[in-house]
Amino acid sequence: MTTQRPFIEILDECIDRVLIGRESIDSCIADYPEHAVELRQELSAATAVQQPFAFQPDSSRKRDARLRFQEALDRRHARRSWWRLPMPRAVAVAGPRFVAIAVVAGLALLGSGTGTVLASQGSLPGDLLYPVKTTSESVRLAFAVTASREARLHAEFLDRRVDELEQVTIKGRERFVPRLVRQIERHGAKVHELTVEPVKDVLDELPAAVFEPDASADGRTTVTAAPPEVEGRTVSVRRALALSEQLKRVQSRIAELESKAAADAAKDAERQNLKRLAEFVDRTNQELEALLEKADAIHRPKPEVEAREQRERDRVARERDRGEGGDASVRPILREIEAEVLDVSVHNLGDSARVDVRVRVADGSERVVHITRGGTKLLKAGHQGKLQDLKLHSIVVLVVQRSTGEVVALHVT
Amino acid sequence: MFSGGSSRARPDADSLADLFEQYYDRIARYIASRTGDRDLAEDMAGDVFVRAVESFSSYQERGLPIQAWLFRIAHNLVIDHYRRSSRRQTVAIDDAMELAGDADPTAEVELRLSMERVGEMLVRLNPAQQEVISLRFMGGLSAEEAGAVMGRTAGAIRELQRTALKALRALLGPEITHPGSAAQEATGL
Repeated sequence: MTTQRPFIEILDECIDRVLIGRESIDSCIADYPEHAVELRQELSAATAVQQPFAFQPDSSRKRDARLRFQEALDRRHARRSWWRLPMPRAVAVAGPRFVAIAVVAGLALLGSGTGTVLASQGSLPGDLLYPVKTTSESVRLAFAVTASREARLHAEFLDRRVDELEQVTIKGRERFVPRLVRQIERHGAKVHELTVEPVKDVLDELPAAVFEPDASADGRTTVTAAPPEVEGRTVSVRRALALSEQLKRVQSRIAELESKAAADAAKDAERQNLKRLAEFVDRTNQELEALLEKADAIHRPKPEVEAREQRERDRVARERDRGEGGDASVRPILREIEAEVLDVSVHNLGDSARVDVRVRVADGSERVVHITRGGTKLLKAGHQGKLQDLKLHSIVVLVVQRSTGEVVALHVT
Repeated sequence: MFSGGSSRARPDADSLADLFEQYYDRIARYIASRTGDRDLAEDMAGDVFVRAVESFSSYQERGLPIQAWLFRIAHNLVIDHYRRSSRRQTVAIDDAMELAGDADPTAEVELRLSMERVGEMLVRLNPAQQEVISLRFMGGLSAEEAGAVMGRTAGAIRELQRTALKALRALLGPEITHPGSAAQEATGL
């Protein structure tokens, strides 16, 4: 394709296509062969300048930024929502001037817009600020980008509705009970869907060991053993455990409300609603408990394995107490864990240096592996790959001492 | 809802939510090219969106394309940062790698080194050239959008881009003839 366009426009077009559109330089030059030499030089320079900055931002920092942004939107939304709140009937009947005065007085009482959302958190159905509270919850749900986050939000809102259920019955606002019961069921169903179903799907695949990453007291990375194929499974189980605890608390609170309603013959409708709710929570919890029992049975190491590992831990502790280096003929039990490289940084420590490799391990949590000068030698001596082969998002294998959880080597696969 | 073009549609505040996913990464890269600090850039990119929500009424009055407005906020935050911060003390990565006893740096260390080298070249351009390179190459804005950020015409942006590239080519040296050349790898770029 030939053209009489000025070179400066052609260059601009090719910069768009190559740097932003990710076309190849050759592809753009093919359209403008009469400018091939100069275009290649310019585009090569442009690519060289852009390339070091073409990074993917850190996911946890981005998540924090998204959260701050969401909170800012919440605050703004709450400020604007205030003007659309339904006014009490008496105020609406009184006319616009009175409404305006009431609104201004309300704002003065509540302070700034930011304070409005906070003030709404204790509101109940029937209160003026209750729509602000529920709108804020809807916005937070809309921003829940992972199933885990969504499940946590629904669990939080389920708790809130149960609180409100207690309060409205105390304050004599029983007309809101059916609505709250429906909302509790809806939140409970969502938590069930997002938490219990993933556990069900994977229980049969769970291997014998549970992966429980933990940071040691001295800040070094320690991970305890698990075969790498556990990816994400234990997260589901932990979530299910937390839900089970929460549901037990909800059950006991509903039981209290039921007994209070039972004492009042006039609250038959409320009693029926609470009974329905109690049955729903009970069913969910029973299903969850059954799943967790199954998970426990799979997870629990065999007694002989536990005993062997305890003997190893005791031996290491004795040697440490005696100040001995340990019996070289007794090899520590090692496990291998796959991890994804997220970041590599070098730190000058004066007369030495340290390389920090931030990794994501099987359950989604992140840890930093510190490689000191001696550790670097471990990488070089007889292991597959070298430090230079580490690239972001490559998979490495952490070799972990089972009894102490310390990373003793890092393989580049 | 918003294309990458210079739309003058007037969004409401809730549509800012879509823009986070669309522009966060690009704004982080733009700020990194202006500050030379990737970690700081990612934090500041988050500040851009909070500032955008808080000052949304000023956007509605100005009628800029939304992406231009976001990058202008980013630009202002970078200026504020320069005013507040003192010169950082940097560790010479070459020294650190030598002390580590490993002559082969990681890809990430090489990347950071390249970022520093390019940063040193960028500061040798005039401020307008630096801004154009950062907005176009790192921020991924079109010439029209970059013009809206800088208050210039698209033609002026293209001219600045051309002169900036010419200066950068001189700094990069004649070895940079095409990506992937052995000479280019030797320079770390």
